[in-house]
Amino acid sequence: MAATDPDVPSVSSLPLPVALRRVTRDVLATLEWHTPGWLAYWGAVGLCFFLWSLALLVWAYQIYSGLHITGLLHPVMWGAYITTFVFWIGIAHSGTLISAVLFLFRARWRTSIARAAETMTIVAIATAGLFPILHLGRAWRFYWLIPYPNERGLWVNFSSPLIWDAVAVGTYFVASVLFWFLGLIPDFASVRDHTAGWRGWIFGRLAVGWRGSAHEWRHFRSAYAVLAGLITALVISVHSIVSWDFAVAIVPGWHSTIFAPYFVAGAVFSGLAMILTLVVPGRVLLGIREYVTDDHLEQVAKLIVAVSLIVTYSYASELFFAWYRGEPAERSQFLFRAAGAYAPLVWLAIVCNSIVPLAFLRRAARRSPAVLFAISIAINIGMWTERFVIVVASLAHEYDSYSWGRYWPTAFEWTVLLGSVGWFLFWFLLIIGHIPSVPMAETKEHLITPASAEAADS
Amino acid sequence: MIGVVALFEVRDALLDAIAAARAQQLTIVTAFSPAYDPRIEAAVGVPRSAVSAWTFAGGVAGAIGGMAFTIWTVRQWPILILGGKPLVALPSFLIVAFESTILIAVCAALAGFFAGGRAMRRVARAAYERTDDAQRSNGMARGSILSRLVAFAAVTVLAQTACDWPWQHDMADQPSRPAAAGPRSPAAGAVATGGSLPIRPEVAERQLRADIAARSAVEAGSKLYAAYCAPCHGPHGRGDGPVAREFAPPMGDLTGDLTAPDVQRHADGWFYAVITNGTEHMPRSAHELDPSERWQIVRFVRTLGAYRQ
Repeated sequence: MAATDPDVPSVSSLPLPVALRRVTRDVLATLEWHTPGWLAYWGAVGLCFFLWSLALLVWAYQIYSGLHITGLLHPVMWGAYITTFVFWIGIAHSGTLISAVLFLFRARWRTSIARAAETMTIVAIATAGLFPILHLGRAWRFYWLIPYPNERGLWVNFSSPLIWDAVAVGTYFVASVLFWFLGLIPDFASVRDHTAGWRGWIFGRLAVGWRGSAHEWRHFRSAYAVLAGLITALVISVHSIVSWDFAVAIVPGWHSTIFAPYFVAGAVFSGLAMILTLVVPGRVLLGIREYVTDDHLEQVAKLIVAVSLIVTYSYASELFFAWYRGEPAERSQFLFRAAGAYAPLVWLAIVCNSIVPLAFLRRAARRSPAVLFAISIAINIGMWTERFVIVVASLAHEYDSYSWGRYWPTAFEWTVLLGSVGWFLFWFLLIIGHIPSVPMAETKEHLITPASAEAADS
Repeated sequence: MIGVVALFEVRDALLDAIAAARAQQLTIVTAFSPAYDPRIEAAVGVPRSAVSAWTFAGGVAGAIGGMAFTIWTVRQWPILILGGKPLVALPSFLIVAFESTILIAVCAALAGFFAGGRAMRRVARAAYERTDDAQRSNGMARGSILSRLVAFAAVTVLAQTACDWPWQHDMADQPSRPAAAGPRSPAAGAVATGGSLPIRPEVAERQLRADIAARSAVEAGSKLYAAYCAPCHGPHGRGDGPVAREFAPPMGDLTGDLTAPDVQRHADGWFYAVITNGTEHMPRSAHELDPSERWQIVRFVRTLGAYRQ
């Protein structure tokens, strides 16, 4: 009986066979119909359903009436919809960071939140994928984006960053779903072995015949490690490609080489904040508070500080570029951001992204769930606002002064934005509530092979 | 015969049992555990997984496929607004090829995982569960899936060749001639009755007939003959026109006498061609007489021959 493992403190002090059974029992208990938090859970699901069905009505009205119900007008032809698209793709990145990148770094603390993070990733990508279609006036023509031999005699333009987007986001979605599913196979097998009736049958099919033999574990480890490596390369490319939607244009404020790392860092940053937003209340709602401990949340908070500093550096480099290059339009754009019509949003973003997260330098702030949740909300708001400023302020203030304009989202766009949040939470809650929300197999692996023994082996 | 040998509560007991079984020369098939355990893997002696090989193959296929697809599509329909950039834009296509590499590699890794697991499935299922029908259903399942795949592939190929599908027709492939392509070259031996193509008398003789009504043509032809031909050939085609008196050698040639049988033996088309092209001594008149007028003269010249005879 080893010393208490900080990653799984609740069970690691027990004898190993008892601990393993306890993990299975606790996690499977979250799949029961009447868990302690079931009323709050289904209430949240219902509220989210209401939000996104409202947005669906707004979208139907938009298809009927046209895009003029949004605030989009020359010169700002990309507004809240594109901002929200970039926002949701960015959020997806952090799930991959936690589940894939931290796996490669052998960070054992990631295990408890890895399942929630991966689920967040796939639901965020699915949410983001709605927005290019939402943004289309003739939404029924969306299939023109798909490269297949057609009677129009047309292929898509592979030199366009919008097509790179489609390819990258599609690849990211497929890869993330496959990675999420792979990691779930041993856990589905656990559920299958402990569940009778039609529910056991469903999990049995999902478990694709997993029996847990040493050979199967070998294949599993190989595939998991390989997928983690591939997805790490992918995740860096995806938000770089999304950033190139802007960077390949000559719009002042967009045409900058820092965009790729800037956006990837921002994506990881907003995703980490969303993980806190989901997990801090979620661990209570799902009853996994013993497994997602304050230590794990503290690690996430430390990551948030680190990435916040990178984002601050990106802001500073934008200032430097505007001064160093001396290009009048870029300087004018920068001053417009600092003191123009969108200046309050710019300063809100700077406060929320650069200043507020510094509170996590204090240990007390990192350990307090209320502070974690509050700061995560602030970061979410700050990151959405920052994306909004990048997209809208640059378009509102380009080279020709007679083309300058203003854009503000209308009530319809706000409804769609809120509806997307509802859509995201709806699917996230439904999925995470019906699969093992903590990776059982990995948790047991850490119990079987404690960190000290792993270090001794290698 | 495969079966579950024992269940162990503690990992070390399992490892001891494996060591004892090896000491007795027994074959260790596999061991089951609720989570990955490197010690069990080492004790059982699990061979390397082929997943990395599958992934590498998938990645290569994705890279080649991505580049090939983008380059092929842009060359197949090269009417893109490029802004002076090359048609085959490698930086853009590399991005697409990179994503496609990752995509196919990921799918291949999963396929490799399932392929590797399938080999163990029969053993694992028989050992894990206490029923025997696992072995039956496994064999049947594999056979029926394969036969279904073959049947599906056969039906698809047959349907593709047997039926006329819209996607087999490209509107760009038309039997008609596009307007911008210019006029066709005439068929071999074709003779122009109008227009500017050259007309050879020998060919025209065989292939050209007068298409116009006889009676009014002769009248019109006589007027045209009087205006254009009579000055040399004479009013009755004897070669005694006022201009012919000045000719040396004189126009008493056989060909000059339009009424001579040696002349009249030629077909209508020959006369038409001679009037159109001219000869060594006679100017051409295609520029002054349109085809129907020339045919009218031909009709009239025929009557000259009849007149003489």
